[in-house]
Amino acid sequence: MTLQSQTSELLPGFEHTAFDSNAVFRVLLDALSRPGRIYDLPVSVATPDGLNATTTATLLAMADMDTTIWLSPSCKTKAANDHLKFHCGCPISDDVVMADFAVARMDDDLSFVSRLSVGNAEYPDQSATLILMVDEISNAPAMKLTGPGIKDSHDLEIKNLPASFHVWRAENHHLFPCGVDVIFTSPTQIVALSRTTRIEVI
Amino acid sequence: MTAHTARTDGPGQDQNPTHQNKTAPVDQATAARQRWMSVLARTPRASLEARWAASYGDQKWSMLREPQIGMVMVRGRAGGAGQRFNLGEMTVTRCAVTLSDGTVGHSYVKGRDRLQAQYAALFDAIMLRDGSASDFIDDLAAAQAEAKRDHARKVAATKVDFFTLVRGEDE
Repeated sequence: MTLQSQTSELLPGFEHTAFDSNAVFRVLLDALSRPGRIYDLPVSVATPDGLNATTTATLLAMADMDTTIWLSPSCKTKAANDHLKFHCGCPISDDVVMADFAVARMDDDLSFVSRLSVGNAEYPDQSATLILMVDEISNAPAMKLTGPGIKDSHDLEIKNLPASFHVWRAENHHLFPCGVDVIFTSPTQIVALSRTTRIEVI
Repeated sequence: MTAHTARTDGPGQDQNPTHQNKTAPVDQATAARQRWMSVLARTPRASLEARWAASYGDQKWSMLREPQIGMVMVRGRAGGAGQRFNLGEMTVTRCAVTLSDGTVGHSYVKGRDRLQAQYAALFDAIMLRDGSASDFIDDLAAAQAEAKRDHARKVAATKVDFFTLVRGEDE
């Protein structure tokens, strides 16, 4: 007798779970400590439909059964869903308010960002982290970043960043110590904006 | 990995093939898979390895989740029917593999033998794909049942019945 073979499209996670997630964690830590500095993804991972490699690696390194993930409608493919549930065992919520990590594409409707959890005065660490998938990150002078972790100032350009993002970021900046951290992920690179980073659009 | 009891409400838990509610109706295919997975989990690495090399050595497969060692909380009921309590934690190793045609095999094995978990998952995948290892599984099951009977016989030979003599003072 044979059973219907299940979940046959499952992709492998990290090749070396411990070392690879360690390396990705280190990059994320550095990226959030030095906002605006661009880091390369240190490992290669299989990528399900709907996500890019850097986002997949970030979630594999960060998500577990205690972190709720929210995927935007364009990211929420069955492959992405299965991949995260299998390798991270994390709950995936349809309610953006619940999210510890929210994943979206730059060209999605970004109005959800105002509903992300910003933490509270006692536990500002309980805020959500927004992961935005973008096509290209560069150090071209489109935004001028200043703040903790940046000596003098730092230039950053994210292609097709909508103006509404800056409005939301400015509000978010005033919430300190609460607020949402943002990680931009291109297919090969990572850059982060911490909640303390001041952005000046040039 | 930290020890945790199996949750029944978490949406990610449906991947866990060892978690089955005893009272839930189990369809025949699942029951068959439970049987071979439990037989494979009890089989020492050497026999799995030898059989794999002999029959399936040329198979192409890849690791979906490399063997991971963790802890599970074993729960018991006093007398098999009392209140549920936590008996203690035990070490388990789990593994998932995929054959070249995409069939996914899982294993949850007691102890920390990574290779045993890997081969158990491979045989699970083979059984799901074409069931060609069913003779091997039947042989293993028979051997395990025999060993269990042997042990039960030895234990039964040393059985002591305790009883209280009536002392008479209650009358």
